[in-house]
Formats: sequence, C-alpha cells, structure tokens
Amino acid sequence: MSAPSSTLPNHTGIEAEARARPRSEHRPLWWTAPATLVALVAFVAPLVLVATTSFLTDQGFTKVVRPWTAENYTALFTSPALRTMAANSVLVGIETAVVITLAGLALTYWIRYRAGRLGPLVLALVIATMFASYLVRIYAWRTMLGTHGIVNSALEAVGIISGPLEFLLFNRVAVVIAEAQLYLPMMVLILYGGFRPIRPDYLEVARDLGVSGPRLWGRVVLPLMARPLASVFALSFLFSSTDWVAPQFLGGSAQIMLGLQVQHDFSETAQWAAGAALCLTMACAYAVLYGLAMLVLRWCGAKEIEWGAS
Amino acid sequence: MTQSIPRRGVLRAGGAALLAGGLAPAVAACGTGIRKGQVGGQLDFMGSSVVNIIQDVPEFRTWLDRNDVYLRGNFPPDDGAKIAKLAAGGAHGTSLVMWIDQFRSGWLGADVLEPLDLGQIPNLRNLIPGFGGPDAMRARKDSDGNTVGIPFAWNVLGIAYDADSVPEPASYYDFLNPEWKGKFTMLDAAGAVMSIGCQMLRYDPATLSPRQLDEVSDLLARLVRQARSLAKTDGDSFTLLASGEVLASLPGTPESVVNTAARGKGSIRCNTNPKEGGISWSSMYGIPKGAGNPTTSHAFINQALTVPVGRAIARRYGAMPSVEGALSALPQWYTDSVPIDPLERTFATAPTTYFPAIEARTPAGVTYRTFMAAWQRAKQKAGRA
Repeated sequence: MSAPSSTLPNHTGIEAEARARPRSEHRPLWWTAPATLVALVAFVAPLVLVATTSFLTDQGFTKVVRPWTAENYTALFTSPALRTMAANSVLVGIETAVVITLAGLALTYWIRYRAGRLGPLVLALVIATMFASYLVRIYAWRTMLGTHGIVNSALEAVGIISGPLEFLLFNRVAVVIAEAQLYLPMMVLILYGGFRPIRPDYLEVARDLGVSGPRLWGRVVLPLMARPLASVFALSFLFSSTDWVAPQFLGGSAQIMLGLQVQHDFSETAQWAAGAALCLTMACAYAVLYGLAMLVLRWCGAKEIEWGAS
Repeated sequence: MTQSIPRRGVLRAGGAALLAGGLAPAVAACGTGIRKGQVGGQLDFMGSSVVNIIQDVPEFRTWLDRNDVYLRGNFPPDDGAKIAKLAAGGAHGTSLVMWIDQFRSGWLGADVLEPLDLGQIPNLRNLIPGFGGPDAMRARKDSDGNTVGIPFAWNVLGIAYDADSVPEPASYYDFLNPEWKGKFTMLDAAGAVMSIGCQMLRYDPATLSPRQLDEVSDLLARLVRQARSLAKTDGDSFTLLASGEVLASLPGTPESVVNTAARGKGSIRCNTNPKEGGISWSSMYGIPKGAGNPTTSHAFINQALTVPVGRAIARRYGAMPSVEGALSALPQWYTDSVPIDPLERTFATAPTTYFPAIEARTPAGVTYRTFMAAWQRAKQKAGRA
C-alpha cells in the first residue's frame, strides 16, 4: 500500500477488514499451526493412544503390556454378550432418535412459524431445561414414572387405572423417554438453525401455488430440512446409544448396553485394553453409519440450504 | 466516536489474562503452604458419606478448625473404581482413602497403599482388641507385614426389606421364587453380589475354580432376571427402598435401615443372618502411595479413632465402630439385628470373605479381574434370556 493515509477514508473496522482480506487469503500454512496443534493434542493423540492400547494385553488395574495382540477384538466379535449389548444399544438409539427427530421437528416448526411472539420465549424455556444437572433430570424421571410417581398417581386419581403401571420404569421405555428429554433441547437448537433461513413467505408461496398439508411437508419442508434432520437423527442416535448413566438408573436389570460395558471395563475392572478395543470398534461402527447416512442423503439429492437474509 | 483497539493491545491483554489464569493453578499446584511434618491444609478424602458423619462431630470439627484442615471428599462408587483411579492417576488429589478389606488383593496387587506410620496414630490403643476377627487383623497388613489399613467400622451384609410389606426373607434363595419377581433391587457392585453368589453356593471366593465361577455367574444371572432394577450405589438402593419402588434390596446392610429412616421410611429392616450366613467386611482408612501431606492424613486417622467419632459412627453409620467405648452408642435396632455380645462370636458368625488374588494360582485359575468380570457376565446372561 503506497497511498498516503490522508487520502484514505475514515478507518472504520469494516474498511480495515476489507483491506486486510486479500492479504489474509495468502497467509502461509503455518497460520493453521495452533489449530492443527489443538486437533493433534485433543483428538488425534487420544485416538492413537486408544488404538495402541486396544492391541496390548491387560495386566490388571489399568496396566497394559506387550505382547501386541488382536485378542481383545477377537473376544469382542466372538462374544454373544456383545451382540446382545449392541442390539440393546442400537434399539435404544433408534427409538430415541425417532422420538427426538419427530418431536423436535414438530416443536421447532411450531416455534418458528406458529408461536408468534411466544416463539423466543418457548425456545428459551426449552433450552433452559439443559441448565439442570443431567443426573437431576434422570432422577426426576424416576419421580415421575415410579410406582408412586406423578404419572401413576394422576392416572389413579382420575380412575383410569386401579393399580400402578410398573412398566413405566426400569425398562427400555423409561430409558428412551429420559434420553429423548435429555437431548431434545440441543436438537431443537439444531433444527431451529435449519428452519431459520426458510422464511415464512416461502411456505406462503408454496401454499399459494397449491401445495399444502402433507404435500407441503413432503415437497418443501422435508427436502429443505433433510440435512439438519439427518444431523439430529445421527447425533441423537450416537448420544443415546452410547450413554450409560440413564440406562443404569432407569433401565431394567437386563438392559445392559455398550456404554455400561465401557464403564465396567474402564472403571470397575480397569481392563483398559479390552475397553479401548470396544471403544474403537464402536467409533468405527458409528463412522460407518454416518458415512452411510451421508451417502443416502446424497443419493436422495438433499442439499445444503443457502443462507440468506431471513 | 468509536476507538478501535489495536491488534497488539489485544494480544497484550490476552497474554496477560492467560498468564494470570495460568498462574493461579500453578501457585495452587505448588502446595498448600504447609511444611513437611506439619498438620494442616487440604485433605482430599476418597471415601464415602461417612466423612459427613465424622465432620459433624463437634470434637472433630474443633480439631479441623484448630489445625486449619480442610476436608474435601470424593466418592467413587466402589473399591474397584477407587483402585482404578489411583492406579491410573496416582495419588494426585487424594490424601486419604477409605477401603474395604475384602478388596485387599486388589489394593495390594495394584500397589497403591502406603505403609502407615503407626507411631503417628497413638489412638490405635482405642481399637477393640481382635476387631473383625483374626482374618481381618491379617488383612490390614501387606506382604511385608506393614500395616496399610486401620479399621474404623465393621459392616455386615444381609437382606434389607420393608417389614410393613413383606415377611422377613430367610434366605437369598427366596428371591428366586416367582413371588419376588420385580420386587427387589440388586446392588450393581461386583464385590458385594459376587460375595453373595459364593455364599449361596458355599464357595470361598479366594479359591474359586473357573467352573465354580461360572456357577456363581449363572446363579447371579437368575437373580438379575428376577430383580426390578440394579442400583448403582448404596445410596441409590436406599432411595429405591425408601420410595417404596422396591420391597427389598440384595444385598442390604444395617446401613440401609438408618439411611432409609433418614429418608422418612421407618419400616426397613435388615436380616444380617440369612440361612446361608452373614458376610462381613471392615471399612478402613489408608494412605495412597505418593499422597501429599501424609502427616495430616495420619493425624486425621488418629483423630477419627476417638470415642466421640466412634459413637457418631455407631449412631449414624449403621455399622459397628472399631473404637472401644463407642459400642454402647449402637442403637437397639442394630444390636437386635447384630448381637454384639460376645464380639468374638459375632465376628465368627459373619466372617469376612476375601476376593481372589491378582495373579491366578494356576494358568487357568480365577483372578481378581475374572472374579469381578463374572458379575458383568451375569448381567449379560440375564439380558440374553
């Protein structure tokens, strides 16, 4: 820049940024070093450590030693127990993801397009539930779903049931209900972000063109929301199928899931190699599932929404 | 008029903030300002809620205040988790542990306990002679004969039940009957339930064969199928009993009685002598290897062996205190359940069973790890049914 400063307009932040932009586009690669370092330390190194540990031999209480072995993986893939745990986890994951996706979609649609001035307030209330401790929320579900809980007491009071419904607690139903409530607020945020660029007048235009009801959803809303919905489904599935706290406190005695096994391996018997093998297997399985979901989306032609002024 | 902050200024301010933020923990990490050999400072207690009982004793409170000792508790769910934590991360952040002598092989195998300097614990003279029985006395020492644990309470396993709703279960096997299906909780603690499984089959946990271990695991799987829930902690089982969600807890302890009463349920009782016999353990204090501030840890143990603390444990912990002179404070409901006269007979009626060694005696033998993992296998089997 050789122009004298007196000829420059006022140094506002925007102008300064505009002048700086061309130079920043040519910043050398080492500018990414801090971010690369953080990624290496926080993500790559632990993953390498877990992968390495998974091929070592447990020697009791967190001690892992050579020889290198694939025994931990062999034990995993030949264990009928693992299949049961995986099936339980997948079932809880899918059920929770379906509940969260449907409920989240309906709730967010209402907040975005129907709630009017109430919308921001409702959104704030939904998010506010996240501020309560995770464990408190799980215990709250016990209070509500228990034999002498609020649900049973209310149903008995109005004469719908004569004795408590025991199937409400300590089974998969209770786990799914709690998991859905735990993660719904976060997913509502994601969905709200997806709905934001779809201005109400887009939907009005669609209606004016004769597309309404289920066709509006099928031809306008869902295609535009495909990616956020896929993210919500995948995240809900991931969080709920790997959780161990809610299954421990709300699941029945036979509801053993993969998360509980990981907790057992790392905390109770401290078999770190076995635990690492299970973690890595789960991570790979989830990566494959995610890849498949993305492939399906591409196959369906779902595209990112272009952000514009809303 | 807006005044922009130059980039250099931002960097300077950020650097200063980073330095200030980093200095605080660094200063804290340098220590508590307590000189070696001096009592005082922060004491990190890895244990159970017993620390709350102890802190409430006025004499103990005075001792804490006088010496500027700050207690900070953390409560891992069981001894397995405690050993894993210490073995993985060392004693950093832990000055004192509460451990259970049944897990002796795990604690000693992981080599995480420091030999205690008994000269710093003069109140050891207050201990009841022969407390816990001969095996329990031996369990406090490591292989070199050093004392690594000082007992503060003797506990006994049994069956906790709601006396207003069900008759007293006389045997652990009662819970396999259809009428108990879905009415009790099992504690999800490998040591406790494996002890019960072994007791039901009359096997000694320390010398199990792999075949016997499978039998124990199968039996426990049958119990798991009958249970309504698995309680993660003692506190969780107390809550379930107190809320009426379950009518019994397997295992239960006299601690269940006192804790459910505190939660407003006065009808919980504990059968500590079922047909298969009771099982006992001693709760002990120990100091982890490499713990900072061991002088204060020793002083804590010494102070915790006084009669006022023993009496508080007798009244509120639901266990027999190790301090002579505190037994008279045991409530009647406890002595009705666990007769304490003569003590030798009490200890003999409910002996302590110890878990297998870290290293198996034979290549295919049962180790501490396979023993604990058998409980997980039992849950898996129950899930496959």
